[in-house]
Amino acid sequence: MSHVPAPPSRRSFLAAAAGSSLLVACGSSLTPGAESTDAASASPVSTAVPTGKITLVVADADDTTMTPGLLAAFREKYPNVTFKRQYTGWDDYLKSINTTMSADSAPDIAQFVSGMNNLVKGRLLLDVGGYGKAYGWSRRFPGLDQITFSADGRTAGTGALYGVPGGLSFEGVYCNKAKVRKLGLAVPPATLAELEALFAKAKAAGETALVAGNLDGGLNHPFNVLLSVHLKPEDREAWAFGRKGAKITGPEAVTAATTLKRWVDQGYVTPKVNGTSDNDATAAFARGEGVFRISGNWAAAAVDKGLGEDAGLFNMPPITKGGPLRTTGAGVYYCVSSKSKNAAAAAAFLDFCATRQASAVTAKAGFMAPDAGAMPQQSGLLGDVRTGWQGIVKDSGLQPFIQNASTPTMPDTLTTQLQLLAGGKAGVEKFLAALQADFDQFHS
Amino acid sequence: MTVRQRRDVAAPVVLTVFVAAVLVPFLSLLLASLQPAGTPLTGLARPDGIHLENFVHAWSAAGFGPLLRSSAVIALAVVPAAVVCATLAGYALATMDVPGGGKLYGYLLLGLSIPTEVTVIPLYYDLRALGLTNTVPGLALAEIAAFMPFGVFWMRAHFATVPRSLIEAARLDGASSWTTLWRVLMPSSRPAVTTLGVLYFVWSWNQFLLPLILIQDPAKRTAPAGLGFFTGQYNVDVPLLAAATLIVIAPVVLVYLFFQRHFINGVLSGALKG
Repeated sequence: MSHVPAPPSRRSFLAAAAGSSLLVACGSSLTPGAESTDAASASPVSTAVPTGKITLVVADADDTTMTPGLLAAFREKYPNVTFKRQYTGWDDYLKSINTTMSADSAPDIAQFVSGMNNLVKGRLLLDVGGYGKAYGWSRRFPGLDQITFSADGRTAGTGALYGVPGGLSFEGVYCNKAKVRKLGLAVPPATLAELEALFAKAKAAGETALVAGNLDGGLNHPFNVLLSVHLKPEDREAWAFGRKGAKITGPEAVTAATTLKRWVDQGYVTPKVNGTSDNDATAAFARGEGVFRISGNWAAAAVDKGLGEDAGLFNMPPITKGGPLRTTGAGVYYCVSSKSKNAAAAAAFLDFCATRQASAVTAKAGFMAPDAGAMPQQSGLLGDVRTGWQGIVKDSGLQPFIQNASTPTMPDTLTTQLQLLAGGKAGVEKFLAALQADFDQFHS
Repeated sequence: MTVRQRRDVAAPVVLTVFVAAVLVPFLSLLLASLQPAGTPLTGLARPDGIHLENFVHAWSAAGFGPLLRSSAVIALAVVPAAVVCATLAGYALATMDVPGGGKLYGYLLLGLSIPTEVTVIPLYYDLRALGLTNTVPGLALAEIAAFMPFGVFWMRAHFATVPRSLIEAARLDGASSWTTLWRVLMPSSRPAVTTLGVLYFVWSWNQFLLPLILIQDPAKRTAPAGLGFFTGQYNVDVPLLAAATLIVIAPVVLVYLFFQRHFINGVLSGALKG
């Protein structure tokens, strides 16, 4: 469950390999830990933080200050709990976490990433639903559906709860305020049509309207957001969460894909978009190229550093004026191993992520805090981001990336198909049919 | 232009191209490691001042002390054992009538064609059943086994080139198989064995996937695993990554430079004797 669809190429194979052989092995005698899991999930649930000396092992791939900051803040509050943090770089974490979680020495708490839903079937993740009820997590955390899985782990949004988000992320529309003023554009636009009209004006003035890079599939950001705006929330979620029988070929999806294609064809998007990486697009926008950019709050630090006072962000406008705000996002989620001997302490840490103290740490690291109201006031771009996030949370408008949980191969398929679409090699119908074919193959 | 003249021109040109092909990427790595930490970089660029503190930062951030130590421990466990096993197997397959030796050799060669990615996950479950995951012996055994196909191939090919008459003469003088190997064949086999040892050392040192999967505690993994530390989800710190790369390859380069002279000595002395 990455914010950004992680570069898929290298990890997909190993994640799939790790997952599938895990499932195979879990029925066999090679899994000494498998029987103990029933006992772990059946143990009585308590919201009391255990006293006595406890050491929790935490595995994560969070290279921001958030995870270490949250651990330190929790320890300050409960000095009897010591953490042993095992940080691994992102790519290496994706390759190794499934086998790490199946070892007898599995960490107590782990950062949840796509592919770890394969662990659900082997009962290697702790069902924290009981703690969730006791603590009241459904009221305090947005985005819990993204870490709720069916018993076979193949479908998200339904079944048991396996964790909570420490920090969330969401997509918005960045703008270069200096250029907006110079061109006389009125922001924020109230509807999607108005946004497109602004693109047209910027283009007519000789500017790149929408800065994007699709070398690694970065056009999925506008596409995901367009789907959020156009599709009915239940349809969009059914597909993103891999529910059997879901379709992405309906008229609303066609409108979303057609809009994206029009933006490319009209020349609103960066020329040679298929030859530019997503990171380079952010760097170019931060250097002052172009007028708008659709990306997540993770890019805020770079954009703020580059544009300073001229950096701004607003939420993706709805189709009709005053309609509910919807966008795409994900987050850094933490889950608990079913082998943990200190599940109650681990659950207390999960609960801590929704507190006011945690919000300050999360916001400082550039993430959105689960408790949107508790995020500290900030000025400039970061203030815009905070306001945007509060609007999204108010409308319950955070929706998952379509490629993270629909099928294991979707990140690769989506990247390929977006490149074909942007390169003019595939039409809208063929593009959506290819996505649906990948989906149907996995969920047949 | 005669053939000779053409050769006089061509040789330096080809050599220069190859030297450039090796040195330019290395130069790029060296320059990148001297840039201020966190600078986004593409291609060759003149450093903005010389930032040697990158090496200190890279060393402490990724904890290279324990990582290099565990790399060294694993290499020390793997290289001698693998060289001995490969030598014995190669000797047997090249000079004796091992029953089913041809099939056995074919089976070993099959191992050359199977990539580690295919075997690593089943291997993980096998070792876990034996309680050997997250341990140095488990990783060392896996590496010894993984290196065996090439080693046996290499040593068998070497022993096959030794004149049969030499072995027969040793037999006639009453030498056992052991004596023949240690006293007659090994002294002239130094170049082959040293080369195999250096190759094994480099492979073991650079081994990345096996430690990543078989060792769960990041602090107990090997030096190349430390490089992942600088590759985040959104950002790659190129200068620190370059500095870390230089730290990781330094021992390999030293070992190689040291044994480079032994190669040449061994080859020359062998040539004089033969």
